[in-house]
This record gives sequence, C-alpha cells and structure tokens, in this order.
Amino acid sequence: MFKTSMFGICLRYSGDYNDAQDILQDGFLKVYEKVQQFQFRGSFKGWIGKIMINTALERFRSKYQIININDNIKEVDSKGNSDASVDISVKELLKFIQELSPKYRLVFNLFAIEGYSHKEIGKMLNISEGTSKSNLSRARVILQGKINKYYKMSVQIS
Amino acid sequence: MKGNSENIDNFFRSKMDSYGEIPEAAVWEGISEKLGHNKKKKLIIFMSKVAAGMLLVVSLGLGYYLLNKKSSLDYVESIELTREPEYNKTVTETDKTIKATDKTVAASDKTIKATDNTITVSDKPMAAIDKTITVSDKPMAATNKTDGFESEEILESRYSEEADIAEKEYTEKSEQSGLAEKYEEVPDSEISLVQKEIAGEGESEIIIASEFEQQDNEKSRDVISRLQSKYLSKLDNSNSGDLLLAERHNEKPAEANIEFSDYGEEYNIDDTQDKSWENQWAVGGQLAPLYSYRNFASDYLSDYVKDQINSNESGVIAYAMGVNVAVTPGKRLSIQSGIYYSKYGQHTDVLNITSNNPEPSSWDQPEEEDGTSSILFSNSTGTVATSRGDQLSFIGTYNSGLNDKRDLMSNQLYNSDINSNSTATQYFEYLEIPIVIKYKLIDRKIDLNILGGLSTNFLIGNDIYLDEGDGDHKYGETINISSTNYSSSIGMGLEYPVLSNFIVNVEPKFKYYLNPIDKKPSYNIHPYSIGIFTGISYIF
Repeated sequence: MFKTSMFGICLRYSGDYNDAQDILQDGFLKVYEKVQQFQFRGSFKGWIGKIMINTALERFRSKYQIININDNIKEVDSKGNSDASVDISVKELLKFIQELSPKYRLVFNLFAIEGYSHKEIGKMLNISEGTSKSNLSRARVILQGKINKYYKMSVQIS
Repeated sequence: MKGNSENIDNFFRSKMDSYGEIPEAAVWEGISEKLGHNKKKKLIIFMSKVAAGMLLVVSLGLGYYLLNKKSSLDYVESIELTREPEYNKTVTETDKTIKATDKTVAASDKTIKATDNTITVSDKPMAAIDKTITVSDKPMAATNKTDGFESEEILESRYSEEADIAEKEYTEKSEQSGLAEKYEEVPDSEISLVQKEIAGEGESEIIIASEFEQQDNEKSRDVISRLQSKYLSKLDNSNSGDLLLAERHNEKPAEANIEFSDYGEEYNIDDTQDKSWENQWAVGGQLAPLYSYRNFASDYLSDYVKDQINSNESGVIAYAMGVNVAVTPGKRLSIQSGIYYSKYGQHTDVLNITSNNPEPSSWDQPEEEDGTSSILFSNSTGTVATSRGDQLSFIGTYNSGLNDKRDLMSNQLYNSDINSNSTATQYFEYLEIPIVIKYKLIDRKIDLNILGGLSTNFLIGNDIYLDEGDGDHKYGETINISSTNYSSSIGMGLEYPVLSNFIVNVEPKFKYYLNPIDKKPSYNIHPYSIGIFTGISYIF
C-alpha cells in the first residue's frame, strides 16, 4: 500500500539500496507485529513512516555506537550557491544523502525532511542538542558542496 | 547564512519528502517468507509437541506392555515351580495315607463305595469354592447313604464283624468329624479366605487338603487322601501344559475339561482381584514452591550483551497449586489432569532510573488515554509499560561494559542522575491444564513413579514490581507476551498410602515452556521452573 513511499524513506536513511531493502523488510515486519497498537490517531501512513524511521535508527544503533561528544562546533556557514534550485534529479539528491556519513545522514533526514527539533533528535539518537546542530550543519555543507559540484559539472558538460 | 541553510533543507524536503521507489519483489517475498516461516515454525512447534506427547505415550505403553508380558511369563513359571512339587508332595502324602488306610478301605467295599461317592462330590468343592455350598448336600447325602449302608449291612449280615466294626468306626468318626456338615458350615469369611489364598497362590488342593487334614480323624484323612489321589490321577491324565495354558487364558483344558472346568471360574476371581487397579479414579490437591527463571536466546543481540543481561537477571521463588484427577487404565500406568495455578517470574537485579525528566525518553512510546507518556523499559522478558511517566523518565538495565552509560536492550544513553539501587520483579500468573502420564517403576509400600506431560497455560496475571529502595511497588506490566502457552513437564513421584484410601505424594517436577512467551521475533524467552509438588489423593 505504502511500499513506494516507505521505500523512499528507507533509501534516504540508508547507505545503499540493499540496506534500504533490509530496513523496509524489517520495518514492515514490525508493522505487522505492532499493527494492533495503532490507535487511529493521525495517519496510518505517518505511523508506518515512523516505524520505518525507527527501524532505520535501530539498525544504525546496532551498527554504530553513537559517541556523545560534547563538541561545540559552531554552525558552519554553507557557503556556495544559494540557489539550490538547479535542475538536479531526485535520484542524484538521494545519492548525495546516501553518501553522507551515517550520523550526518540521520540528523539531516530527521531535521530537514521529517522536521524534528534538535532536542528531539538529541533524544532519539542519545546525543546532545549541540551535537545534533553541528552534525546538521556539517551535513548541509557536504550536501551543498555536492550540489555545487554537480552544478559545475553539468554546466561544463552543457 | 541561515537563509541558505533553510534553502538547502527546503530544497531537499520538497524533492525528497514525497520521493518513492518501488522496491524489488524479493523484499515482499522475504516478508511473506518470514511471516510464513513464523507460522511454519509455530506449526512445527505444535507438531513437535504432539509428536513428543505421542512418543511419550507410545514409549510408556510399550514399556508397560513388555513389563506386563514379562510378569505374565514369570507367573506361569511360578505356577510351574510351585505346583509341581505340591503335586509330588500330595502324591507322596496320598500314597502314605492310602497305605495307612488301605486296611480300613479294604475292610469294606461299601465303605469305599460310600467314600467314592463322597469323593466324587468333593471334587467340585476343590474346583470351585462357590459351588461347594451348592453341592454340599451331596456329601450329606453321601453320609446318609453311608448310614444306609450301615443298616443294610446289619440286616443282610453279609460282611464280617471286622468289616462291621470298621464300618461303624468310619460312620461314627465321620459323624464326629462332621466332615459332610463341614461343607455346609463353612462360613463366608472362610470361603473368601480360601478364595483369596487360591487367588494368591493357586494352591487349591493344598489349601483344601490342609483344611481337612486339620480334622483329627483318620477316616477323614482317608477320604481326603482318596480325594487327592483321584484328583491327582486326573491331573496325571491331563496335559499339564494345556492346563496351565487354560488357567492363564481362562479356557478349558483339552483333556481334563470336565473335572477342571470350574478352574476357569477360579482364575476369573483371581483376575478380578488382580485387576482391582483397573479404571481406578483418584482426586487430589497439590502445592509446590517453585524456582522459576527463563531461558533466553537472541540472534539480534551480541553474546556480550546476552551475557550482561544474564548476569543482571535472576530467577525468583514462586509457587503453584492445583487440583487433579487421575485414572489408572493400566496396572502401572495412570493419566492425570486437573487445573493448576502457577506463578512464575524473574528478577532484574540492577535497574538504572533517571528521574525528574518531564519528557519521555523515547520518541516512539505510546501515549496513554490520559495523555501521559508511558515509560518503557525492556529486559530479556518483554517490554514493561507503566503510566508513571511523570515520575520516571527512563528506566533500563545498565550496560557496564561500555564507558558511556547505555541501556542494555535499547542501547540508549542515560542522561544523568542514575539510580542504580533499584530492582524489578516480573510475575506471570498462569492457569494450567496439564495432561500427565505416570508410570509406576516400583510398586511397593512407597511407590516410585516417573511422569511426563504437556500443559496448556493461560495467562491470567502479569505484573511488575519496582523496588527503588523502599519496597516493592506495582509499576506496570510486561507487554507483548503470549496469552496462551504450552509447556512440557517431567519428573518423579513418590506415593505413600496413609489411610485406607488416601495417598500422600511428593513429586519433584521440571517444567519448560515450549513456546517463547514474548511476541518479539528477535528474542526467545522460554520460562522454566523446578518445583517440589506435595499433595494428597483420595482413591475411589
């Protein structure tokens, strides 16, 4: 029913296609397992989406230890082309996200796309708000860099 | 700057938020396989339970059959061993008696004739005690006839004085001994006693012979010895093998069918008494202290974490009690069922609680009806839910192996203010309906049984108590655990009769849950218990 959009979420949170498929599979198994707990508050799609994200986070936790470094990295300015609305395919954007390191990818997804606050992200990932902010900032810089690079390349080709 | 950042975020959100892609069909196949596999697994578990039960029944049945067969053979052997010497003995005794009384017998043909009459009739009392009473007028008649002979003898004067004296002596002594009357006067208790002895030992001729031998009367001895010799002569004519076989199978022996036809009835009595256990019913009650814990397996967690969990959790002492009913379809076999209440549990020795945090620690915790967030914590047996979200923000078990303080199950970090002095105890209460098969290994004054069975267990209680240093407080319950479970049990039992129909039993039993009680696919928890069941049964 929601497999296309759910797979989209999984792809965003995972490093590669296979990883995304694993998350999707585990996530849907969880949905079957927990479907009785759905209390019809809010959309079913949103609920499934949360499960998918949670599955991705669990997978991340099991793979990596999140180290709670109290880093005071200031928010880095994302220099470069402020006009991000270049003609770039979604596939490319997905690739950029997937190329991020896991913790940057998670924070960026949670903050920029899902809309969670740093406080919430901090709790989800057991990291401090500061870490969440710095990770997001770093992710933005990397993504911006990739977009710029892509833009330059496409200009050169054209 | 911020504007640029937001641009990036918005750009990605607008492009990626609704992004979707069709996954490979293999993913769905994998899901349905896993779901189907679970069902298959359940079916396999169920079938294995059924198979285990059947195997138990068949093996016990086979054991019973083989032992029973062996005991039957022993019985035949014992008959052969006990009876043969008795015949010889009887023959020797009879020879002696006949020799001793030969003179007397020879003295009067009529006396012998009369004695013969008595003997003929007396065969039946030997064969079947029940018939003794019905045929007992015949010895009377025989005695009367003896009297008649006496008068006839006097009238006709055909016999010598010696014979007359012998005749008189015989008649008088017969009257004194009350031999004929003895048959009539045998009280029921004596008959039953004799029946019992016959049933127990199969020594009919000896018992009856000794009964008569107690009479201090030579004539009686004569009658008995004649009777014995006649009986033996018939025995000699018969095929002893056939006879034994006939006795076993309650059939008439091929050759001695007339004389020994009633033996079948005798052994019928014997069988009935031996089968007093057949379909015997008993009701009883039992109570047991239990040590209960769980077997924990997980493919999801690393061995290190599993070791940590195992070292942080321990079993608890609980109890079980119930009523049971048992039926005995075989001499050594009994089947028992009933209703039992059992309490199991486990203890989490070190819990880490972070207090005074108004917000829930985990973003996907379900909300209660009143809007307060549940606090969840997981240990090996499920996840615990409570509505005390306003008092406790995080509770979990501490992974001491890492430098940062992290929950064992969720791998989440603790924030601060860890109170490690808390413990939790989970209790599960079940209503159990067992089917237990018992096999009697030793059948003495104190019986020794082995027992095994299966049980269907319905969850009726589920509580967790939290002790934060000030005693146990009910905290919540374990969620996502199965309401219907199956367990197997194995044990031994001692039974000791205390009163006529009461039996005290002591049964150490080991129970193991065949299905994992938690519904999480990543963990498998099988509770088990070791208990000493003590009870009393009343036998109908």
